[in-house]
Amino acid sequence: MFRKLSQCGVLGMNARIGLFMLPYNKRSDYPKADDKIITFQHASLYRIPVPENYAIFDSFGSLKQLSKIVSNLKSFVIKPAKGAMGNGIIVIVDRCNGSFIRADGKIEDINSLRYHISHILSGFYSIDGYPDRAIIQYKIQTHNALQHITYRGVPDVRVIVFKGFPTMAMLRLPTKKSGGRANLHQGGIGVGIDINTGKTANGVMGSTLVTIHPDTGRNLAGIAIPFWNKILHLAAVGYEISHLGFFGADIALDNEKGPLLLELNARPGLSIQLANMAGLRKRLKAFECENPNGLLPEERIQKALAILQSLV
Amino acid sequence: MKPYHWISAGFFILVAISLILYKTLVIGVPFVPKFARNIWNIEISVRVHPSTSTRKIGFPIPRQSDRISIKSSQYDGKGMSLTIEKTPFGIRGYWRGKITEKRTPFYRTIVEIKEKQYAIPSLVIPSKSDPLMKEYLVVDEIDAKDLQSIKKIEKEIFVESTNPLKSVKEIFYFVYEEVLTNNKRQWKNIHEIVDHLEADSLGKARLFNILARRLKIPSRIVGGIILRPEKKIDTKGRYELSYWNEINLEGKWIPLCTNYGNFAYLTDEYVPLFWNIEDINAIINDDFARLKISAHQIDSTQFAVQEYRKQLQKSHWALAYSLYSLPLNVQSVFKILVLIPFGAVVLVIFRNIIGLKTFGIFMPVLLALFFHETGLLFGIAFFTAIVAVGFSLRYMLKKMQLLAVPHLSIILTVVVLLLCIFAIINYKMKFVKEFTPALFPIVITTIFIERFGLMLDEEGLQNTLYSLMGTLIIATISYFLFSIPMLQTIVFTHPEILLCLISIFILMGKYTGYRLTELIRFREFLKKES
Repeated sequence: MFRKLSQCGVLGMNARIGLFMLPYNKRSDYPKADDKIITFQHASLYRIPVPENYAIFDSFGSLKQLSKIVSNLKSFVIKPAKGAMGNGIIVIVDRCNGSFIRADGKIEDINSLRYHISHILSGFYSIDGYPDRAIIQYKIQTHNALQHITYRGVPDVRVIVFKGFPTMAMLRLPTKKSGGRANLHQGGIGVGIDINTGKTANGVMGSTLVTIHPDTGRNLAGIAIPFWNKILHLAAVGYEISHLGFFGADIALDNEKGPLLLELNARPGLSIQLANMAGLRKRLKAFECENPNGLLPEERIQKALAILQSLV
Repeated sequence: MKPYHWISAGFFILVAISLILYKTLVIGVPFVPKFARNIWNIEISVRVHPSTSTRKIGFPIPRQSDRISIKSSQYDGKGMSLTIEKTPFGIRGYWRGKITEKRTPFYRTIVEIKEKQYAIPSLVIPSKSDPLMKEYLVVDEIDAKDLQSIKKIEKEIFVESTNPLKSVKEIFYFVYEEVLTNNKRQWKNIHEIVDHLEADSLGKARLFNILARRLKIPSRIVGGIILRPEKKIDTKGRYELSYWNEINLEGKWIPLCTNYGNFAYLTDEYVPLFWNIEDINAIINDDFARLKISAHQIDSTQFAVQEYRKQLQKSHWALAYSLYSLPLNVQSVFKILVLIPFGAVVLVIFRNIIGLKTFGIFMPVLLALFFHETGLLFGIAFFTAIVAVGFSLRYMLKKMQLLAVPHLSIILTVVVLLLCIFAIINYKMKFVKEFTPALFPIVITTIFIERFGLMLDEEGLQNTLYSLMGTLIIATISYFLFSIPMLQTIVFTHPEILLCLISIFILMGKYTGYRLTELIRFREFLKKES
């Protein structure tokens, strides 16, 4: 059975760490992906569009400012700067009599938001367990093209980038089960994307394949992702931003602002292979001899598309 | 996997193996200390009343044999001098001197006692005129009444006696089963025993002795102590004298005990002291002296450790620097510490090769240590109870919206308080023998409670239960590994074995194959047609 997996070129957890993360990702480059604030600082150097940060909390004292900051905001997102796997994120979609309505329908008041931020600052959701910063961020307005396969929350596109070459992509959709979050291990759906055309194929929920969104009942396959070339560009530039050899770029599609880089992930999950029903190891191997140095992002994308085309 | 991985992994294994081989083969120390299980400190003291004349008071001393090995002896004559004499009937000590006050000189000896099964010759030809055996065939003159009752028994038990071995067994079964052991029935005459079918151990030994000798089987009475709880006559470890027998078959003395029904077999409770003598006063030979024999079992591991340490120091100066040179209470800590890396091996296998998820990295190993201390079922129950209480506390605290560190500190405090309360209750109710909270990972448990709660909030019940199960499974398997006493002894004796584990970790650290659980995760690929 192991042989069948390796024939398909499936990348396992041990191989992800031992063959790609450890050799290609320098430890000193991790903060550029782990800490969203640092990611955004570097992204601005390359004119990469990111969601606007309304405020950053780095101390308990500044928490007093919270009610002033959010007073004019109808919707926003609270995130830990060094969060992992979508933990610690609260999405506020609306206001009602001074209370806040979350994406999953729960109601919060200003005190519980403050309490949540204090937990973020203490490092509860931080990937390394050390004290963290909290971000109040612009809430993405889901693009019309994806509206019908989204249950609350915000979908995003995950692109695996290896040595600066985009190698695999999927659309991540929030569901009822995931509580409005797009993370697969929390119950979100991953939908495979043909990286050459930007069109969706079938999806995966948990470890089982799905063809329709369980909450909206709409077909997952055959949707053309808008701004596909720009999405690939954002993902590829993640290499210049982070210098990581192997990472996943999360890009959201805003209805007004187009693709926005949400974050870079130095430890991308492996379920993307199920969404695409393709082995990642096989694709990564094809790029092992390629040298990205001196190539512009656009050149890398063209080369990657050519190589991936030849693999099929 | 690059060559230097193999080289470094091989290097550690090589160092470990050559160190162990050097110690055992070249220096010649045993691979592991032999654990003598049954070590006793036997004290034979004589209470001497003062008198004006010079005295000579005899007492029996344990004799080295294949069952009894004498480890060390010491004595205090309290003003009297000691002479030791070896006789065919056992070793005798004599206290000599003038005593003007009440004194209790003692002779102490540390012995290891083993059980032994004796081989019985298949063919026994009686009445060979071996001059050495003559005195063991003498039947003292017995009066008419005794003779009558003996003959009555012989008629009863020797229905068809052609085989002397079979006959001797018949006697044995008769004395063991038909004659009740009752230490209050100290008869002088044989016929009283036969009439009442009740006797003390001396009476039974005498009856057997006469019956065997009349069969022309050399036989003698053995006196000594039987280290059984019911043979204790006070709480200070004093034992009463007991008697059993030995018969000579084809030149070999074979013991048997009609008190507890052991034939050609002695348990590790028997300590023979004198042979062919029915009255201990014949040895003491002093009207104003009382013999007292007491015995205490010695913690055998402690004894073995001391012996092994001596052995190590004698064999090589470098071996004096071993874990055995540490104080005993420190040793017991290291005994468990050296096993922790083995728990890590289990952890690596289950996390990286099988693919279970756990709470925290080393939580399972720490839990296994705790289980090792308290026992598995109790450990799991106790841990679950603490986590349940802590978790409900967290639920209440959530509403108070405290800052994270004070919030955690409250949980920590409550966990400590729970441990205090439990320790006090346990002291009275004895759920577990000894409760040492030191090994309970207090801080880790606190963080565990917090992470458990967070994970429930963030990732739902199913994922949390998977991680919980993974943690408990690894902890349980590590616990069983920790419970192998041989493993503990070997690693404690040769800590260099841990270097081999480093090699294992290097090799497993380069494992890039699939995890077992990934077969389930990627099962859709297995369904795919290739």
